[in-house]
Amino acid sequence: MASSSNSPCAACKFLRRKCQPECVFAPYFPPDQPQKFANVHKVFGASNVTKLLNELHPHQREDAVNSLAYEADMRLRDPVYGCVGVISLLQHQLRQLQMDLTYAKSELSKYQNHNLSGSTAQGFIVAAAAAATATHHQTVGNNLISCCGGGVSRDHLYHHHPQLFSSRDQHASVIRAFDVNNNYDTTAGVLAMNISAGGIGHPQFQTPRAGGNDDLPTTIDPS
Amino acid sequence: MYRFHKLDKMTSTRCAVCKYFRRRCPPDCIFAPYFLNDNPQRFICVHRFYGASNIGKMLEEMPVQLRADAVDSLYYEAKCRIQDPVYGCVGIITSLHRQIQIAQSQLAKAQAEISFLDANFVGFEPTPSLSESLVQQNGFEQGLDDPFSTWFY
Repeated sequence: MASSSNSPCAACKFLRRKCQPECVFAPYFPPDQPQKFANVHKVFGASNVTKLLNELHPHQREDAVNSLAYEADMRLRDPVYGCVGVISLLQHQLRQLQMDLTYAKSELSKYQNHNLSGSTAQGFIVAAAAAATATHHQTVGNNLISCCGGGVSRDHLYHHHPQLFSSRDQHASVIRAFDVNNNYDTTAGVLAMNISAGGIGHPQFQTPRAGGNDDLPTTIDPS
Repeated sequence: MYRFHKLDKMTSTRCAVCKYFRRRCPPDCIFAPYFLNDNPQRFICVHRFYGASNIGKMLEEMPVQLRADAVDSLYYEAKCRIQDPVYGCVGIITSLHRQIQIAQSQLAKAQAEISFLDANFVGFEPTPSLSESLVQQNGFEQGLDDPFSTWFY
């Protein structure tokens, strides 16, 4: 993680200055990743990043830098919406899934409510659940979006799903939802989830979320 | 008296950015339409993370009709970063990814149950082509990658 004493970190190399032993950037911008710092610097500026890092505990800084790098990358790819575009797309995706799930559950309830003898119906439901569990992983593999490492670029989405990008209202609704309630408003229950640092989707993070508490608040008071 | 009146006029028409920097706000100020002087916090928030000069450069590089949305999204991200200095809005993205995975898993399980019941439940007519319609609906578009699996260097 720390650059060697001989080679300057990517930040100092970019800024063309001597990389001091106590350089605040050195642990997070290794010399073999020049683009990472270039992007962060272009969007946020080195001095703003320094201020931000100095306000955090050392064990939080790596995650902070990685999230800034991600935001910078998204902003450079989409200068108008940046990460807000990503959020609105994911919200749309989640809403679609929840609608499908509600529909599927209503169909299942038709089987459960069908007028059969109790033991017959119960037998079917138990067998269906067992079969579903047994084939669950295979079905997941066949039918699901690969959220981790799907390898599909945003350009793919632009090309194949222009309707998702044409709606400024969709992106604007993300922003309005934040402002109106003065808190995050993704979907109900999203922020009540536990996010574990070592779980799916966080392979790069070394530490748990701030404070070591994985429970996200339902509402976030900006004050 | 005239001098004070002139200063008042200049002060009252300055945008929040020019007011912050205590400078004259020119008629073609790039920030003026998006940082009104009645909401100084908006600029302070965005300036804290991006800096006025970076914001100005970003705005100059995009068409005028997109600038309002760009500033709104920068403000949103800045507010997210204030509330969560470590992860910012990336925390929301990760949370949504997780929610999507869970919903997909539940949906697949429900589909499997329906398929089983369709195949084995004699004497009950489910909604026609239920299984097919769900499979068709769930020919999922490939989604955005989780930020920490692909975009991280």
